[in-house]
Amino acid sequence: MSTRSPSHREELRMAEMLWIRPRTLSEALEYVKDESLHVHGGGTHLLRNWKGSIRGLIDLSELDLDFVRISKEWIDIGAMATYADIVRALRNSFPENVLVDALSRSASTALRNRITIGGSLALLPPWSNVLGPAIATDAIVSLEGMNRGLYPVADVQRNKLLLKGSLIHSIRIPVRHSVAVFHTEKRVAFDYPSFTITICADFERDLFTNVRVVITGVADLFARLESVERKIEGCSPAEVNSRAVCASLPISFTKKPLGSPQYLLELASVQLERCVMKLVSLASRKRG
Amino acid sequence: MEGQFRVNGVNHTFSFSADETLLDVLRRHGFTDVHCGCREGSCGACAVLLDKKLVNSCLVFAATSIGQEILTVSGLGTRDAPHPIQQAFVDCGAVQCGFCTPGMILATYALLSDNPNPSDEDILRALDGNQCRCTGYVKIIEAVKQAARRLDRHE
Repeated sequence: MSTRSPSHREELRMAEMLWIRPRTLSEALEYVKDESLHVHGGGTHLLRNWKGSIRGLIDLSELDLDFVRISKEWIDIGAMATYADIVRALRNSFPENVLVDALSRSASTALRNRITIGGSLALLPPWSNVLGPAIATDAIVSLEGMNRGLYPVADVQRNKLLLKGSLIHSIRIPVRHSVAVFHTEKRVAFDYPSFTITICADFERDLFTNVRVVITGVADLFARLESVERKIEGCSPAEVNSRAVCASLPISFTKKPLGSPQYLLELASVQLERCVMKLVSLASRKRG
Repeated sequence: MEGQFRVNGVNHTFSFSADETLLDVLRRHGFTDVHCGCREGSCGACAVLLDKKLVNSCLVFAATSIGQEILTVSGLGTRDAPHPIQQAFVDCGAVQCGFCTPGMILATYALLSDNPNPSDEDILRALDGNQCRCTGYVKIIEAVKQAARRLDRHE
Protein backbone atom coordinates (compact mmCIF):
# COMPACT_ATOMS: atom_id res chain seq x y z
CA MET A 1 0.00 0.00 0.00
CA SER A 2 1.34 3.44 -0.87
CA THR A 3 2.50 5.48 2.13
CA ARG A 4 0.62 8.40 0.63
CA SER A 5 -2.77 6.68 0.71
CA PRO A 6 -5.22 8.20 3.20
CA SER A 7 -5.81 4.97 5.12
CA HIS A 8 -2.09 4.43 5.70
CA ARG A 9 -1.67 7.99 6.97
CA GLU A 10 -4.59 7.42 9.32
CA GLU A 11 -2.86 4.35 10.73
CA LEU A 12 0.23 6.41 11.43
CA ARG A 13 -1.86 9.09 13.13
CA MET A 14 -3.63 6.64 15.39
CA ALA A 15 -0.50 4.88 16.58
CA GLU A 16 0.30 6.02 20.10
CA MET A 17 3.23 8.39 20.15
CA LEU A 18 6.06 7.19 22.36
CA TRP A 19 7.04 9.28 25.34
CA ILE A 20 10.61 8.43 26.29
CA ARG A 21 12.17 9.76 29.46
CA PRO A 22 15.83 8.70 29.64
CA ARG A 23 17.44 8.84 33.06
CA THR A 24 21.02 9.32 31.91
CA LEU A 25 22.75 11.20 29.13
CA SER A 26 24.10 8.00 27.58
CA GLU A 27 20.59 6.55 27.50
CA ALA A 28 19.32 9.72 25.80
CA LEU A 29 22.11 9.55 23.23
CA GLU A 30 21.09 6.04 22.26
CA TYR A 31 17.60 7.28 21.48
CA VAL A 32 18.90 10.33 19.62
CA LYS A 33 20.46 8.01 17.04
CA ASP A 34 16.92 7.12 15.92
CA GLU A 35 15.93 9.84 13.45
CA SER A 36 12.24 9.08 13.83
CA LEU A 37 12.37 10.37 17.41
CA HIS A 38 12.44 14.07 18.27
CA VAL A 39 14.04 15.76 21.24
CA HIS A 40 11.68 17.55 23.64
CA GLY A 41 13.13 20.55 25.47
CA GLY A 42 10.34 22.93 26.43
CA GLY A 43 8.07 21.63 23.70
CA THR A 44 6.72 24.99 22.62
CA HIS A 45 8.11 24.94 19.08
CA LEU A 46 7.16 21.29 18.62
CA LEU A 47 3.52 21.93 19.40
CA ARG A 48 3.32 25.10 17.31
CA ASN A 49 4.71 23.26 14.32
CA TRP A 50 3.03 19.90 14.81
CA LYS A 51 3.57 18.07 11.55
CA GLY A 52 1.13 15.23 12.12
CA SER A 53 2.67 12.03 13.37
CA ILE A 54 5.88 11.97 15.32
CA ARG A 55 6.87 8.46 16.36
CA GLY A 56 8.15 9.57 19.74
CA LEU A 57 9.59 12.34 21.87
CA ILE A 58 12.72 12.14 24.00
CA ASP A 59 12.00 14.08 27.18
CA LEU A 60 15.26 15.45 28.61
CA SER A 61 13.77 16.72 31.88
CA GLU A 62 15.43 14.01 34.03
CA LEU A 63 18.97 14.83 32.89
CA ASP A 64 19.66 17.82 35.18
CA LEU A 65 20.49 20.06 32.25
CA ASP A 66 18.66 23.11 33.63
CA PHE A 67 21.68 24.62 35.35
CA VAL A 68 23.13 28.12 35.14
CA ARG A 69 26.63 28.20 36.64
CA ILE A 70 28.48 31.44 36.97
CA SER A 71 32.21 31.79 37.59
CA LYS A 72 34.65 34.66 37.14
CA GLU A 73 35.52 33.52 33.63
CA TRP A 74 32.49 31.65 32.29
CA ILE A 75 28.75 31.40 32.32
CA ASP A 76 27.71 27.78 31.74
CA ILE A 77 24.08 27.24 30.82
CA GLY A 78 22.51 23.81 30.51
CA ALA A 79 20.46 23.09 27.41
CA MET A 80 17.25 22.71 29.42
CA ALA A 81 17.56 26.05 31.22
CA THR A 82 14.59 28.20 30.31
CA TYR A 83 14.83 31.82 29.28
CA ALA A 84 13.27 32.79 32.61
CA ASP A 85 15.83 30.69 34.52
CA ILE A 86 18.69 32.35 32.67
CA VAL A 87 17.44 35.89 33.13
CA ARG A 88 16.82 35.29 36.82
CA ALA A 89 20.31 33.86 37.34
CA LEU A 90 22.17 36.51 35.35
CA ARG A 91 20.21 39.53 36.50
CA ASN A 92 21.90 39.57 39.88
CA SER A 93 25.45 38.74 38.82
CA PHE A 94 25.66 40.28 35.34
CA PRO A 95 22.73 42.64 34.83
CA GLU A 96 24.49 44.24 31.85
CA ASN A 97 24.99 40.95 30.04
CA VAL A 98 23.27 41.17 26.69
CA LEU A 99 21.46 37.86 27.27
CA VAL A 100 19.47 39.43 30.12
CA ASP A 101 18.05 42.07 27.80
CA ALA A 102 17.57 39.78 24.80
CA LEU A 103 15.93 36.86 26.55
CA SER A 104 13.70 38.95 28.80
CA ARG A 105 12.22 40.51 25.66
CA SER A 106 11.57 37.23 23.86
CA ALA A 107 8.05 35.93 23.30
CA SER A 108 5.94 36.30 26.49
CA THR A 109 6.19 35.66 30.23
CA ALA A 110 4.47 32.28 29.95
CA LEU A 111 6.58 31.19 27.00
CA ARG A 112 9.83 32.33 28.63
CA ASN A 113 9.02 29.87 31.44
CA ARG A 114 9.16 27.01 28.89
CA ILE A 115 11.51 28.00 26.06
CA THR A 116 14.88 26.33 26.59
CA ILE A 117 18.18 27.66 25.32
CA GLY A 118 19.08 24.28 23.83
CA GLY A 119 15.79 24.05 21.97
CA SER A 120 16.16 27.61 20.73
CA LEU A 121 19.64 27.06 19.35
CA ALA A 122 18.62 23.77 17.71
CA LEU A 123 15.35 24.94 16.16
CA LEU A 124 15.59 28.76 16.05
CA PRO A 125 11.89 29.38 16.68
CA PRO A 126 10.59 32.74 15.43
CA TRP A 127 10.41 34.29 18.90
CA SER A 128 14.01 33.40 19.75
CA ASN A 129 16.32 36.32 20.49
CA VAL A 130 19.22 34.10 21.47
CA LEU A 131 21.18 33.71 18.24
CA GLY A 132 22.59 37.22 17.89
CA PRO A 133 23.72 37.53 21.54
CA ALA A 134 25.13 34.00 21.50
CA ILE A 135 27.32 34.74 18.47
CA ALA A 136 28.27 38.23 19.64
CA THR A 137 29.42 36.93 23.03
CA ASP A 138 31.58 34.20 21.38
CA ALA A 139 29.44 31.52 23.00
CA ILE A 140 30.40 27.88 22.55
CA VAL A 141 28.00 24.99 22.24
CA SER A 142 28.88 21.70 23.90
CA LEU A 143 27.54 18.77 21.88
CA GLU A 144 27.30 15.19 23.08
CA GLY A 145 26.80 12.16 20.87
CA MET A 146 27.97 11.50 17.34
CA ASN A 147 29.55 14.94 16.94
CA ARG A 148 30.78 15.32 20.48
CA GLY A 149 32.79 18.50 20.94
CA LEU A 150 32.82 22.23 21.44
CA TYR A 151 31.65 24.42 18.60
CA PRO A 152 31.10 28.15 18.15
CA VAL A 153 27.38 28.85 17.93
CA ALA A 154 27.81 30.23 14.42
CA ASP A 155 29.33 26.93 13.23
CA VAL A 156 26.37 24.94 14.57
CA GLN A 157 23.97 27.26 12.76
CA ARG A 158 25.87 27.08 9.47
CA ASN A 159 26.12 23.28 9.64
CA LYS A 160 22.98 21.77 11.05
CA LEU A 161 24.31 18.29 10.29
CA LEU A 162 26.38 18.68 13.46
CA LEU A 163 23.16 18.13 15.40
CA LYS A 164 22.44 14.82 13.68
CA GLY A 165 22.78 12.03 16.22
CA SER A 166 23.85 14.60 18.80
CA LEU A 167 22.42 16.59 21.68
CA ILE A 168 23.16 20.10 22.79
CA HIS A 169 24.41 19.63 26.36
CA SER A 170 25.18 23.21 27.30
CA ILE A 171 26.38 26.59 26.11
CA ARG A 172 29.38 28.36 27.54
CA ILE A 173 29.80 32.11 27.41
CA PRO A 174 33.01 33.90 28.35
CA VAL A 175 32.57 36.67 30.90
CA ARG A 176 33.71 39.82 29.18
CA HIS A 177 32.21 42.63 27.14
CA SER A 178 31.60 45.45 29.50
CA VAL A 179 29.14 47.23 27.19
CA ALA A 180 26.40 45.72 25.10
CA VAL A 181 23.40 46.85 23.10
CA PHE A 182 20.54 44.70 21.86
CA HIS A 183 17.74 45.73 19.53
CA THR A 184 14.80 43.65 18.31
CA GLU A 185 12.75 45.03 15.43
CA LYS A 186 9.09 44.18 15.93
CA ARG A 187 5.81 45.70 14.78
CA VAL A 188 4.14 45.42 18.17
CA ALA A 189 5.23 44.23 21.61
CA PHE A 190 4.23 40.60 21.15
CA ASP A 191 5.49 39.97 17.65
CA TYR A 192 8.22 37.96 16.05
CA PRO A 193 11.35 40.00 15.32
CA SER A 194 12.07 40.86 11.71
CA PHE A 195 15.68 41.27 12.69
CA THR A 196 17.81 41.71 15.79
CA ILE A 197 21.03 43.65 16.27
CA THR A 198 23.57 42.82 18.95
CA ILE A 199 26.69 44.85 19.68
CA CYS A 200 29.13 43.77 22.38
CA ALA A 201 32.47 45.31 23.21
CA ASP A 202 35.04 45.68 25.92
CA PHE A 203 35.61 49.24 27.02
CA GLU A 204 38.86 49.94 28.86
CA ARG A 205 41.16 52.94 28.97
CA ASP A 206 38.63 54.84 26.88
CA LEU A 207 38.91 52.45 23.92
CA PHE A 208 36.57 49.87 22.41
CA THR A 209 38.10 46.42 21.91
CA ASN A 210 36.81 42.93 21.06
CA VAL A 211 33.93 44.52 19.20
CA ARG A 212 31.24 42.15 17.91
CA VAL A 213 28.33 43.26 15.75
CA VAL A 214 25.77 40.61 14.76
CA ILE A 215 22.52 40.98 12.88
CA THR A 216 20.00 38.12 12.60
CA GLY A 217 16.96 37.79 10.36
CA VAL A 218 18.92 38.52 7.20
CA ALA A 219 18.73 36.40 4.05
CA ASP A 220 21.63 34.21 5.25
CA LEU A 221 20.01 33.84 8.68
CA PHE A 222 22.67 35.91 10.44
CA ALA A 223 25.70 38.01 9.64
CA ARG A 224 28.63 39.24 11.65
CA LEU A 225 29.28 42.77 10.45
CA GLU A 226 33.08 42.76 10.50
CA SER A 227 33.27 45.93 8.43
CA VAL A 228 31.33 47.74 11.16
CA GLU A 229 33.43 46.11 13.88
CA ARG A 230 36.66 47.35 12.28
CA LYS A 231 35.39 50.93 12.30
CA ILE A 232 34.76 50.82 16.06
CA GLU A 233 37.68 48.62 17.17
CA GLY A 234 40.41 50.60 18.90
CA CYS A 235 38.42 53.84 18.84
CA SER A 236 37.39 56.06 21.68
CA PRO A 237 33.72 57.03 21.96
CA ALA A 238 34.52 60.47 20.55
CA GLU A 239 36.11 58.91 17.47
CA VAL A 240 33.15 56.74 16.51
CA ASN A 241 31.11 58.28 13.67
CA SER A 242 27.93 56.22 13.86
CA ARG A 243 26.68 57.31 10.43
CA ALA A 244 29.92 56.48 8.67
CA VAL A 245 30.19 53.20 10.58
CA CYS A 246 26.79 52.03 9.34
CA ALA A 247 27.05 53.08 5.71
CA SER A 248 26.80 50.42 2.97
CA LEU A 249 25.94 47.34 5.00
CA PRO A 250 26.87 44.05 3.27
CA ILE A 251 23.53 42.36 4.04
CA SER A 252 20.24 41.64 2.34
CA PHE A 253 16.76 40.65 3.46
CA THR A 254 13.91 38.63 2.06
CA LYS A 255 10.37 39.97 2.07
CA LYS A 256 8.77 39.83 5.53
CA PRO A 257 5.45 40.95 7.07
CA LEU A 258 7.20 44.11 8.25
CA GLY A 259 8.14 45.11 4.71
CA SER A 260 10.09 44.69 1.52
CA PRO A 261 13.78 43.74 1.43
CA GLN A 262 14.66 47.33 0.51
CA TYR A 263 12.65 48.75 3.40
CA LEU A 264 14.15 46.28 5.87
CA LEU A 265 17.66 47.16 4.73
CA GLU A 266 16.94 50.86 5.20
CA LEU A 267 15.42 50.16 8.63
CA ALA A 268 18.34 47.97 9.68
CA SER A 269 20.80 50.70 8.73
CA VAL A 270 18.93 53.25 10.82
CA GLN A 271 18.58 50.92 13.80
CA LEU A 272 22.23 49.89 13.61
CA GLU A 273 23.24 53.54 13.66
CA ARG A 274 21.08 54.06 16.75
CA CYS A 275 22.62 50.98 18.39
CA VAL A 276 26.12 52.34 17.76
CA MET A 277 25.09 55.69 19.24
CA LYS A 278 23.73 53.88 22.27
CA LEU A 279 26.99 51.93 22.62
CA VAL A 280 28.91 55.19 22.60
CA SER A 281 26.55 56.68 25.16
CA LEU A 282 26.88 53.65 27.46
CA ALA A 283 30.65 53.78 27.23
CA SER A 284 30.70 57.50 27.95
CA ARG A 285 28.61 56.94 31.06
CA LYS A 286 30.98 54.18 32.19
CA ARG A 287 33.88 56.54 31.77
CA GLY A 288 32.06 58.93 34.10
CA MET B 1 -0.54 6.60 29.17
CA GLU B 2 -1.56 7.43 32.70
CA GLY B 3 -0.23 9.84 35.26
CA GLN B 4 -0.84 11.53 38.60
CA PHE B 5 -1.65 15.21 38.38
CA ARG B 6 -2.14 17.53 41.34
CA VAL B 7 -4.68 20.14 40.29
CA ASN B 8 -5.75 22.88 42.70
CA GLY B 9 -4.39 20.92 45.62
CA VAL B 10 -6.16 17.64 44.78
CA ASN B 11 -4.52 14.54 43.31
CA HIS B 12 -6.04 13.12 40.14
CA THR B 13 -5.13 10.20 37.91
CA PHE B 14 -5.66 11.04 34.27
CA SER B 15 -5.43 8.82 31.21
CA PHE B 16 -4.25 10.60 28.10
CA SER B 17 -2.38 10.19 24.84
CA ALA B 18 1.30 10.99 24.79
CA ASP B 19 0.71 13.74 22.24
CA GLU B 20 -2.08 15.47 24.20
CA THR B 21 -1.58 18.96 25.54
CA LEU B 22 -2.14 19.86 29.18
CA LEU B 23 -4.95 22.16 27.99
CA ASP B 24 -6.89 19.32 26.39
CA VAL B 25 -6.32 16.91 29.28
CA LEU B 26 -7.48 19.46 31.86
CA ARG B 27 -10.56 20.46 29.91
CA ARG B 28 -11.47 16.85 29.18
CA HIS B 29 -11.41 16.19 32.92
CA GLY B 30 -13.74 19.04 33.79
CA PHE B 31 -11.36 21.96 34.25
CA THR B 32 -13.12 24.10 31.70
CA ASP B 33 -12.04 27.25 33.52
CA VAL B 34 -8.90 26.76 31.45
CA HIS B 35 -10.00 28.37 28.21
CA CYS B 36 -8.99 27.29 24.74
CA GLY B 37 -8.14 30.32 22.61
CA CYS B 38 -5.52 30.25 19.90
CA ARG B 39 -3.74 26.93 20.54
CA GLU B 40 -0.45 28.56 19.61
CA GLY B 41 0.71 30.34 22.73
CA SER B 42 -0.32 33.83 21.65
CA CYS B 43 -3.52 34.71 23.54
CA GLY B 44 -2.85 33.44 27.06
CA ALA B 45 -6.45 32.32 27.66
CA CYS B 46 -5.22 28.82 28.52
CA ALA B 47 -2.64 29.96 31.07
CA VAL B 48 -2.19 27.90 34.23
CA LEU B 49 0.47 27.83 36.91
CA LEU B 50 2.71 24.79 36.66
CA ASP B 51 4.86 24.45 39.76
CA LYS B 52 4.15 28.13 40.43
CA LYS B 53 5.27 29.21 36.94
CA LEU B 54 2.87 30.72 34.44
CA VAL B 55 2.67 28.62 31.27
CA ASN B 56 0.42 28.37 28.22
CA SER B 57 -1.18 24.96 28.68
CA CYS B 58 -1.78 24.69 24.93
CA LEU B 59 1.97 24.48 24.43
CA VAL B 60 2.71 22.03 27.23
CA PHE B 61 2.56 18.30 26.68
CA ALA B 62 0.53 16.76 29.48
CA ALA B 63 3.20 14.10 29.90
CA THR B 64 5.68 16.72 31.11
CA SER B 65 3.29 17.82 33.87
CA ILE B 66 2.97 14.51 35.68
CA GLY B 67 3.62 14.97 39.37
CA GLN B 68 3.66 18.77 39.14
CA GLU B 69 1.39 21.24 40.93
CA ILE B 70 -1.14 22.76 38.59
CA LEU B 71 -3.17 25.81 39.57
CA THR B 72 -6.18 26.92 37.54
CA VAL B 73 -8.26 29.99 38.26
CA SER B 74 -10.92 27.98 40.10
CA GLY B 75 -8.21 26.93 42.54
CA LEU B 76 -7.68 30.55 43.55
CA GLY B 77 -11.14 31.38 44.73
CA THR B 78 -14.83 30.68 44.29
CA ARG B 79 -17.88 32.77 43.52
CA ASP B 80 -18.71 32.92 47.23
CA ALA B 81 -15.12 33.33 48.39
CA PRO B 82 -13.20 35.05 45.63
CA HIS B 83 -9.49 35.69 45.81
CA PRO B 84 -8.62 39.40 46.21
CA ILE B 85 -7.34 39.38 42.64
CA GLN B 86 -10.64 38.05 41.34
CA GLN B 87 -12.54 40.60 43.43
CA ALA B 88 -10.32 43.42 42.17
CA PHE B 89 -11.05 42.46 38.57
CA VAL B 90 -14.79 42.62 39.28
CA ASP B 91 -14.58 45.85 41.27
CA CYS B 92 -12.52 47.62 38.62
CA GLY B 93 -14.76 46.58 35.73
CA ALA B 94 -11.92 44.61 34.18
CA VAL B 95 -14.18 41.82 32.91
CA GLN B 96 -16.35 42.10 29.81
CA CYS B 97 -16.82 38.83 27.96
CA GLY B 98 -14.58 37.13 30.52
CA PHE B 99 -12.82 34.83 28.09
CA CYS B 100 -9.34 36.17 28.78
CA THR B 101 -9.99 36.67 32.48
CA PRO B 102 -8.78 33.34 33.91
CA GLY B 103 -5.44 33.79 32.14
CA MET B 104 -5.20 37.43 33.21
CA ILE B 105 -5.90 36.54 36.83
CA LEU B 106 -3.34 33.76 36.91
CA ALA B 107 -0.74 36.01 35.28
CA THR B 108 -1.53 38.60 37.96
CA TYR B 109 -1.24 35.98 40.68
CA ALA B 110 2.15 34.87 39.33
CA LEU B 111 3.32 38.49 39.22
CA LEU B 112 2.18 39.45 42.71
CA SER B 113 3.55 36.24 44.23
CA ASP B 114 6.98 37.27 43.00
CA ASN B 115 6.68 41.05 43.11
CA PRO B 116 4.06 42.38 45.56
CA ASN B 117 4.66 45.99 44.55
CA PRO B 118 5.00 46.01 40.76
CA SER B 119 5.63 49.07 38.65
CA ASP B 120 3.56 49.78 35.55
CA GLU B 121 6.35 48.32 33.46
CA ASP B 122 6.41 45.18 35.61
CA ILE B 123 2.67 44.74 35.11
CA LEU B 124 2.88 45.18 31.34
CA ARG B 125 5.75 42.72 31.21
CA ALA B 126 4.00 40.11 33.37
CA LEU B 127 0.79 40.23 31.32
CA ASP B 128 2.56 40.49 27.96
CA GLY B 129 1.23 37.10 26.86
CA ASN B 130 -2.41 37.72 27.76
CA GLN B 131 -4.56 39.31 25.10
CA CYS B 132 -7.96 40.95 25.59
CA ARG B 133 -10.17 41.95 22.69
CA CYS B 134 -12.79 43.69 24.84
CA THR B 135 -11.42 46.01 27.48
CA GLY B 136 -8.48 47.86 25.99
CA TYR B 137 -6.43 46.76 29.03
CA VAL B 138 -6.77 49.99 31.07
CA LYS B 139 -9.12 48.51 33.64
CA ILE B 140 -7.20 45.28 33.74
CA ILE B 141 -4.07 47.18 34.74
CA GLU B 142 -6.11 49.12 37.33
CA ALA B 143 -7.34 45.80 38.70
CA VAL B 144 -3.79 44.47 39.03
CA LYS B 145 -2.77 47.59 40.96
CA GLN B 146 -5.87 47.38 43.12
CA ALA B 147 -5.17 43.72 43.87
CA ALA B 148 -1.57 44.58 44.79
CA ARG B 149 -2.76 47.26 47.20
CA ARG B 150 -5.32 44.97 48.81
CA LEU B 151 -2.92 42.08 49.17
CA ASP B 152 -0.36 44.42 50.65
CA ARG B 153 -2.95 45.51 53.20
CA HIS B 154 -4.02 41.87 53.70
CA GLU B 155 -7.61 42.64 52.70
